[in-house]
Amino acid sequence: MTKPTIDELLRASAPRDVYDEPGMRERVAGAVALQPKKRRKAWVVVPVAVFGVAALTAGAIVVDDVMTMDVEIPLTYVTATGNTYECDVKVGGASLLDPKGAAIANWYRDQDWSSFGQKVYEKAITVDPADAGLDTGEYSQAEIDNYAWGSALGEMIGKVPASVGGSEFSTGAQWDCAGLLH
Amino acid sequence: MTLPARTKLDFAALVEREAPALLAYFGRRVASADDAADLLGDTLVVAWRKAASVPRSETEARMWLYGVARRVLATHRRTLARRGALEEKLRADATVHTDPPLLDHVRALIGDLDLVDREIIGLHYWEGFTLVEVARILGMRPATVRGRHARARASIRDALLETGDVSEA
Repeated sequence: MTKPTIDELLRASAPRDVYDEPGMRERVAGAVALQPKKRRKAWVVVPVAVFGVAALTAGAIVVDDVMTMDVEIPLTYVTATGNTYECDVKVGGASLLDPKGAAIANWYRDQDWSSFGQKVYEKAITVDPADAGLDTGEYSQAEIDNYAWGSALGEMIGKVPASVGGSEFSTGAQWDCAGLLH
Repeated sequence: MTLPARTKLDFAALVEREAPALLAYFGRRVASADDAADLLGDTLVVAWRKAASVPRSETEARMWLYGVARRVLATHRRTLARRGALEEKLRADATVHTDPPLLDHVRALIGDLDLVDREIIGLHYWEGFTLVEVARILGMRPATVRGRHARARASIRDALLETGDVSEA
């Protein structure tokens, strides 16, 4: 019988691959999913909370012309499938329309937003597309997810205390993380 | 004349492709698969954090990734040493009952090498890197790696020749 060469023996001496051991494939997939997924989609601008008169509502809609986007909130959240996403939400008080804009901006700056992304995500996944008539089959999952994220964010980020914003102000937001719910 | 634009490296795809091999790398060098998976996670966290400094060439990026893995492993070993643990055993020690005795013997001989020589042999024969690539990963001169590889290989071969387990070729 032919004896192996030293190189053959050294190659064959590689200890077995632990990748095939129970649970290891999932561990690898989990480690890979640690990648921060930064999505730079086109900014979407919507009014997320409007309090007061209709004129301010209109101002919020044409937000690029009249609103200063003065606070940027970095969000991070982990989905149920283990994906981690990082994205940004820019919030603006209607500072050109509302004299209290600076106070609103400061309020946003002073908040602890560290767990906010996760809370928005958890709210977004409970949003029922039927409520907005998106369950007709005409809409893609991405569109439905996008709606869910915007709906959750809009509900949660516009809660500026009346003592800060008064009774008549609008706030708007732009974000680049809509729809990343999986 | 204009130079062609450098192709942008898809680092995420590279990481996804290399992750199982990196797990195997750790699995061959630490005592448990759990530790290997933890170290893979640590490596990828570092890799993502430093992604901006990854070389653009896929081959270079792959070696860079193993360089990160090696440093994570070194930190792990230092942590064990600080905790007063016994010297980290090769994965081979844990598989002694499942492989032919000759391969266990070869692994024991590799385990007797100093850490750098052990790493040269492992990266070359187990992970499949060329000696030039091994030198890049270890941050050593290729000539030094070639010399150390030759001496380590010869010492193992001499030991196996004494027991008649290897061909003269």
